[in-house]
Amino acid sequence: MEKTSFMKRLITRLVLLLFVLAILLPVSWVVLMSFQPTNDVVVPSLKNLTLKNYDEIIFGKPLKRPREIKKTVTITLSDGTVTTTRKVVKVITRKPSTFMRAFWTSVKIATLTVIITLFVASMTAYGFSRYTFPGKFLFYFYYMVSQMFPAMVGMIALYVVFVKLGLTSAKPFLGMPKVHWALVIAYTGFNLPFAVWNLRAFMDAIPRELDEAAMVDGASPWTIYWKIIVPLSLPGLAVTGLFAFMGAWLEYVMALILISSNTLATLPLWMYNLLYVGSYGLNITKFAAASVLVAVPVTVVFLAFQKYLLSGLLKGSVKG
Amino acid sequence: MAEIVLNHVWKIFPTKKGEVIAVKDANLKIEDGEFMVFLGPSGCGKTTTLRMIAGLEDITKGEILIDGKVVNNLPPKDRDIAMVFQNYALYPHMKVFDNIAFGLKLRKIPKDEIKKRVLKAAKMLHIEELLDRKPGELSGGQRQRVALARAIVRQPKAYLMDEPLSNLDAKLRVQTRAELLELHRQLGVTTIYVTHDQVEAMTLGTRVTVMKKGEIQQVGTPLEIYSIPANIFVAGFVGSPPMNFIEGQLVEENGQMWFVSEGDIKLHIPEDIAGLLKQKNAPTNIILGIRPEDVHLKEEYHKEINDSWIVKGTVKVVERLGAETFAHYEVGGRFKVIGHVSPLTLIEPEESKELLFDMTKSHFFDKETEKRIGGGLDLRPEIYRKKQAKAS
Repeated sequence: MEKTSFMKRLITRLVLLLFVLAILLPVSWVVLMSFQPTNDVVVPSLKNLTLKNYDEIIFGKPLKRPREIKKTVTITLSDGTVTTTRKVVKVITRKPSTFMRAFWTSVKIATLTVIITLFVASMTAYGFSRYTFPGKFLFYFYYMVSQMFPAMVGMIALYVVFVKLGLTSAKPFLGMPKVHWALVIAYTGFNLPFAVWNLRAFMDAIPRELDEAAMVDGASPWTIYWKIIVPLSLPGLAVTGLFAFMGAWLEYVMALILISSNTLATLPLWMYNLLYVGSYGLNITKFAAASVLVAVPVTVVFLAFQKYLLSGLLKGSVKG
Repeated sequence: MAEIVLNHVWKIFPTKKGEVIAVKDANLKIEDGEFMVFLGPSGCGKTTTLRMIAGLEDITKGEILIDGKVVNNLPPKDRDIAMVFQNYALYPHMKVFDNIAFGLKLRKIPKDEIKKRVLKAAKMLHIEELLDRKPGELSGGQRQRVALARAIVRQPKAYLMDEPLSNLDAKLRVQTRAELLELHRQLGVTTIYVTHDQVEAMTLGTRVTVMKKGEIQQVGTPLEIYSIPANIFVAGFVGSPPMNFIEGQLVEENGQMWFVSEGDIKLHIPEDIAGLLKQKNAPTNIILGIRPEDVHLKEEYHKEINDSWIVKGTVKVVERLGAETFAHYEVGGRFKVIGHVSPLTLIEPEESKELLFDMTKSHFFDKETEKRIGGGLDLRPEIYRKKQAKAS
């Protein structure tokens, strides 16, 4: 009896181990590859691990011959004569890093997407959850149905709209190229149906008596939203925000359609360039290092919100 | 403090299948400083009425006045009322202090003043040591106190309470009930209290409004409601165990009036009550109501026995509560009657007993309309009038 139960447990554990390996192996492979010194390996070794790939991505590739930047300086000598001379003001040892530019572009776009999505979605969900108005069902139905089509369907139409609005240009608007604003708008749009649905399920679970108590206490609808509903929806906001962030952080197709210049590229576009436009062919170790760097922010956000995410996902599953 | 008036107030909820009338033509005047209890079974419209007064529900027809001002279109925040909810409705993410202070903060009262008032309210309800906790860490009784503190700290014109004790256990409920009374005595603020528990209504109310299916059945002091119930519903709802009812006829024999029913039930109606019934043109088909404390065992009855008030009954169930015992009898072959028995009397099911109905305290209702025609206590207003005078 005990033996079979031991066998059972063993088998269960072996199967589980298999699953764990299936998930962890590719990840570990990528992480190990990112520390390899040479580019021609397929099976990574633990010897000669190096940070070279990360160094090159973040700070740029070292130049074979450092370039000196000289400037003509005018000097007034003590006897009053004026003379000019060339002086080295800066020594450039590395190519400029394009990774960090793409990284910050993506950070800006994803963060703005999260902020706008959460603001718009939570207000919309509050409306759907707490008010009755003509066409409520139709509006909600529309939201849900729009989620059922692949995002690709609307992309060309969106592109045309953005062109007409002049949102495909690199001209800055509020400190960011207009085309990046176009991406923020598009990503917010992609995120809204899920965000509204998820947040509404959350808000529906908040007892109405709390709103009523606040109303009697003297709260306006805005105060109820801001002081009662939003704080109590934090787990829902965390889940929704994380999904919105990941969606914007990793999105490729819309960025490809809208962005034509390398200087405007988002991270996924930059990675694509690294893979296929590399001057020395497929740069697998560097690509692995870049993949790890791309995964870091998502992981950090995930860990930071882990507490909320667990309760959030559970609550959503019960209610929604 | 305020006087609250309901003028022909209706509430109709539209549904897919038509309309549901939740409150039907309610007319009521709640005096300044009064403790008014809305009593009725679930679905009788008492909570809806309260919510209309609070402004949480629109009024379909009619008007509600607070301090002489029509408030139909005023949002809750401008009505200057405080409400205590059945589930307390404390803000779970705020500490107790902030829960109590929330309404004051919204009204932009200076911080020092807020602190002073919160502490005062907390002291009154003995929750000073809980101010730094969150509602989730409190017991039901403590939450109830926080909800009460949140209401009294605002010093509003009126308190509205929606079954605030129904989630507490029995012992705590009795204790909190007494504290509520004391609180009302101290503050003297108009209070409307909704409950389905007639004991709460009897003990707390200055006056009680009994409702059924959206209609006000009777408004009066607790003793008035108990002593001269306006109809069968009120008579059966107020009082525990409920009043006994026996269907029968009024018969006149040799100038005497009798109540006759199935199974040889024949009870003499005292002359003064008979006179009253005649004066009110009582129909022949009638319902006799008699409270359990007025149904005695003949063998226990110490006063002079009137042989024309005796009914034979079979004991079915005996409920021993300790201080008192209630016996359930079957009389006249089909009527169930509950009677009061001394706790020391030995009485067992299936025994045959002679019961004595104290007809001086009988109630008579019209069988058709179920409305009260009259009864013994109509003739003795001093019983409840005294209390009424004291209460108001």
